[in-house]
Amino acid sequence: MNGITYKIQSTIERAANVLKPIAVTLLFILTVNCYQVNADNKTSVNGFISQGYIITDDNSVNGNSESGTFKLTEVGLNASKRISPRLRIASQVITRRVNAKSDGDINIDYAFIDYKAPINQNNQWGARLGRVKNALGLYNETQDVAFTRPSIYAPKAIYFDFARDLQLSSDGILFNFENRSNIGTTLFETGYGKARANRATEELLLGSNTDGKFTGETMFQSRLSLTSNDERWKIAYSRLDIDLDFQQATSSPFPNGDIAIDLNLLSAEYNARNWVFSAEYLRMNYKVRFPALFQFSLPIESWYLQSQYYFDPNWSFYSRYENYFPDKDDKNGQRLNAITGRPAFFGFQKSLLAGVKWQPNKSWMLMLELQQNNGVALLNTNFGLDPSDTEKHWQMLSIMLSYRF
Amino acid sequence: MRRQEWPDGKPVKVFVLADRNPIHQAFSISHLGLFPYQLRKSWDRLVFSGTGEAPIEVKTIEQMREKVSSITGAIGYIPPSMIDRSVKALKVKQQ
Repeated sequence: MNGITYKIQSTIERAANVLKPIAVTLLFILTVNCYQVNADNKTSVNGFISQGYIITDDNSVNGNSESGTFKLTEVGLNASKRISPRLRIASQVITRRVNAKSDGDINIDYAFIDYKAPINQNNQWGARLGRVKNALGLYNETQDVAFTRPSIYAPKAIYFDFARDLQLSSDGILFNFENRSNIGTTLFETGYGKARANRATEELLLGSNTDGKFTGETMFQSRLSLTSNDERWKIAYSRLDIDLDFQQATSSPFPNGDIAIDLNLLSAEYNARNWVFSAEYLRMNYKVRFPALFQFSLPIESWYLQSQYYFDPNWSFYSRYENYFPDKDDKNGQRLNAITGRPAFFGFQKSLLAGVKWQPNKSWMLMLELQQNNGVALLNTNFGLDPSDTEKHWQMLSIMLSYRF
Repeated sequence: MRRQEWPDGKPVKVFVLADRNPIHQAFSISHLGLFPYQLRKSWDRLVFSGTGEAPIEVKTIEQMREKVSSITGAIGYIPPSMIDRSVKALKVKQQ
């Protein structure tokens, strides 16, 4: 734990540059006011800390997992204040350690002003302004909070570890309209803003830390969801439309161009007395256009089926079958192998996992899960895998202890 | 659960018993048609997405009555036998 604390402390200084002034101000006000108005229950401060341990028989996850790694830490702190029944301000900061360059960075997950007002008995509308969580699928809004996840990891085939910042939140405005009827609650959310593209995104999308930068990063998002009145059923369709303009610099290997990401996601969930069944299906088109150099398009496809069984208030069990194909027209990886010479199993990942969750009280949770994998497409996102040191079939055991307040 | 304000504009303040309290479990299943884990899941999502708050938890049914009767805009649940002049019983309309 000392290592983690040190890491957090050492990054607080760096954080001042990372944090946007508005969010700093927002969080500051919230924290101070908490002591003044807590008696009125108007401000709440909450947080979480999750520490995981990963061991794999082959291949590396978050560092040297073959001999076991603790590089799976998530810490978050949020404050939210209801200014009036219709107006709320809220912010959350998150720091993670997952054996990435961004380890220890303090990121603003969200910082917004939220307005919500009834239109009439059955309808209400609202708007959220600032850094808002993207309206995406079943888990995106709280995917870093272990307590709200179905398992140790949010389904990675849908909630990508690479393109993380792009998926998580954006800086702009998000409107919502809610209607209640005999069928259930229909919620439509739509918004426009600036995508969170940074150095890491450039590296991910353009291969190396190139000279030149993204100049326009726009995101259009929407989600339509229907929840039955007894809240047993929920179905949703979400869409993200991201456009990144790349501007050449003198020594850049890339000319001016752009990257367009078009993500479509279908989600469904059914809650029974002791069971929850969930499924999501994703199609994402990833178009790279550097007209003077090259252009290509990659159709990503992924999906999962998941079940959770609540044995009693303390114990639950879960399982998931997850599939990820970076190129849906090359599901067995043959074409990847023919063109690049990399093993065909770099072109897909199919994972089956089973786990158990123990929640002795509201504040503590312990999860243990075993994952059986075929393929490494989700490990290969930075093209850094060494084919001679990578196995097609591999297993992963993960444990996570999480505390919330 | 989703309504933020009463018709007169006052904020709604929701009080509940702990997740494992039998009265809470009975109330959520029979009156809301929801299982306690569903409620907890949606409150957690509200709290950690910054879009809302979890209800305020009280320890006993006596505390529940005391809070509901003394705080403006408060709502909770107590067994019919506990209802006295300090609180007002609401009829739940079945849809």
